[in-house]
Amino acid sequence: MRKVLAIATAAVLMISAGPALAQTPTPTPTPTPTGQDGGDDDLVIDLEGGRSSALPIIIPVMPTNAVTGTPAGSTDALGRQLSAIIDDDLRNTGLFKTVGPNAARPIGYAEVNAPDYGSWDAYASQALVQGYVRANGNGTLTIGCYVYDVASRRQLIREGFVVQPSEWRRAAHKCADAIYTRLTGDGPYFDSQIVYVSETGPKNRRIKRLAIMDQDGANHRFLTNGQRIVLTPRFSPDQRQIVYMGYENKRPAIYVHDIAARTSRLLVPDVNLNFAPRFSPDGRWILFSMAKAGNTDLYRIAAGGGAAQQLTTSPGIDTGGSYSPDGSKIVFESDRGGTQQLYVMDGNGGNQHRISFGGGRYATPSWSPRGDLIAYTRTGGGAFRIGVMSPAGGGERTLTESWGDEGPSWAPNGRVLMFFRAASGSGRPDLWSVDLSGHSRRIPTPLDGSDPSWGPIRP
Amino acid sequence: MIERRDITGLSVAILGHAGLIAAIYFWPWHEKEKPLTPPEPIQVTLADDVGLVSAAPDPSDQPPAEATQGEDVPDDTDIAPPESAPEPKEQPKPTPPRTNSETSKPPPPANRNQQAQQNRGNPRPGLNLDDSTLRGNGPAREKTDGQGTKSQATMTGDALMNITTAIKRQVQPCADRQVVPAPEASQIIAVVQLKLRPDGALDSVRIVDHKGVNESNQRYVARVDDAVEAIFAACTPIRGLPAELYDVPRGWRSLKFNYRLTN
Repeated sequence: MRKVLAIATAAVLMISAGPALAQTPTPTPTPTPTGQDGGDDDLVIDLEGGRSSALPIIIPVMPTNAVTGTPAGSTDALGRQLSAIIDDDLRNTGLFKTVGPNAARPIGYAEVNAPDYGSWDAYASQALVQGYVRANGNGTLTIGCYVYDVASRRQLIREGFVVQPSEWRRAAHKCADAIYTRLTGDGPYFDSQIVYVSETGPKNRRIKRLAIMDQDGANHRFLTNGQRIVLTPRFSPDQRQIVYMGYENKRPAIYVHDIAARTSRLLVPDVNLNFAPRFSPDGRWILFSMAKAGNTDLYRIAAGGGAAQQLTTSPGIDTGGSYSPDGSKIVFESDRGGTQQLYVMDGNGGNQHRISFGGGRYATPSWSPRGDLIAYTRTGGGAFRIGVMSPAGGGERTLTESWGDEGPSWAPNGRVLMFFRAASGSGRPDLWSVDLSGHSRRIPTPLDGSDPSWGPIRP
Repeated sequence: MIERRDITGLSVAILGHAGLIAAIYFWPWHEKEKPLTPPEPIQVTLADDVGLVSAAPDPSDQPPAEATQGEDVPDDTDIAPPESAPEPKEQPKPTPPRTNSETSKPPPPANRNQQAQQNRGNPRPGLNLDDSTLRGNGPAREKTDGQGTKSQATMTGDALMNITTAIKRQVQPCADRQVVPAPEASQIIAVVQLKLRPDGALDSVRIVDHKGVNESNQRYVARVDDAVEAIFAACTPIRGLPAELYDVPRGWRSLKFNYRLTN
């Protein structure tokens, strides 16, 4: 019986498995590698291609694992705001064409690290930003920042930031910085601050105050009350201090403002006219100009105060000194040759030589943090324009075409400049930024703004 | 006359058949099949929690682990993969190709490569990428070992040019879509080793060298590499290449590109 059952079972199995067996493909021999693993025998193809246009990128609303109330607002509202800030940061560079949180389809929390690439193909975008917001038990927020290459289906960035609720905007800037750095190759600059001179009032009674804000204009606050006119503020490298020129009793002098203590101290207790201060890259020195006996020269003084050391001695006005990023050289403007031109010298004042030879005048030089360019204001034909040139001279490029642009200050990445532009007619100044590609935009300020100084990336 | 012994035997036979039919009918075949179970959910492990400097947590509800600022981002391998699917049953190993004398009936051609193999004995020097070539009327192949074959075709100048043109025509649109981050990036040439499968699909892409890199454009190297990945991911498989010239010296199985990101 057992034998009969076995035979019957086998027969049934044969019958039921018949179609499956019939569908099993007959194994066929396939070509196997013949040892060609790539080498000098390879077919070589030269390929060139690319375009100079904004990089398309999608930035959906950042989802949250649970809607939770925080001092900065509910986590779902924060997700939308964070995405909007990243969208603004990237779009305002002129280097990205964004599909922002209002246009991109919403994503789920579980999708953040498992993107549905196929669903994004219709957007014809190259990059995709997916982040999330999570309220932690200790009162902090975690903001995740993931970036994907839509074409190659690859993850490019996987970062996250834990911040206090009061600093949630910084997490958005950090995420935008990571994206900008990865997709452009240039360094970050969104999580940085600007100090500038806020102006208001009629021309003959102008009130000028020190003000500080994030690079996008947010978190604006005044540092001085306007009783003293202030000019040319400059950040210290550690961002704790600002050196500036202030008029006390109608007499200009150099002061150092402590941001945390909100106090200012006189740096150079000298009866002579002192102006145009700027920190050295290591923060130990402050470079400035002093007018003495009819001659203006460059000096340096320890940031904590002390005796000033004279660096130039030539007749004429030497001013506007700016250190190279390694501190070994200084670029400055001088009219020793008859017109205002740019000169470079060693950090101790030696080896002075002229680097600008164009028509008109060159002023307010600023050495790029990258070290490869010097920005300046060039005047000629009644117009003030922002330009850049090589530290060795030559390679000049004019970046702006307005008539009243001056006072360039480099972003921490050495690719973007901030300057102030006088409006035609009223002459009221506003802050503007310009990318080395020429893309420029106005920076929003509550009042008029001039003399911007861009601080380093925040830690 | 039916004897008692016959009746007994017939009865046993009838009962036996009835039992067999009942056994076949009621045998619990389905009990041997494993019940379908839903796949295990992906276990997501929270990566090290992060400071404001750099880190990369996963979006998980689990409490964060201790972390220090500036800690390296853990790899995605921290995320446990789903349970692996059961191993498929081993398929019969392909038998070595037989010679004409060994086989009574050649197998039906499954693809161009196989078609080309049938044209054994009709080699011709050089190739043009005309229709006859693409239909498989190209050169014959010779047996190289017990597992595969190698084309006897050789790459001529015309074929080389035609293949180069065909490949460039198909990848150029994807190359043109890449954004040039800065003029300095155009000085960089990425030397790319590309491996294609017989159907033209991408097997691997590897950047083996960079030329023209200097201090001012070093920061754009990663972006150029991204462009390479995107180009060959988006513009493959490459269609219409002659199967005969896939695995020959200077064939299109392995290609080298000198790629420049420029507009």
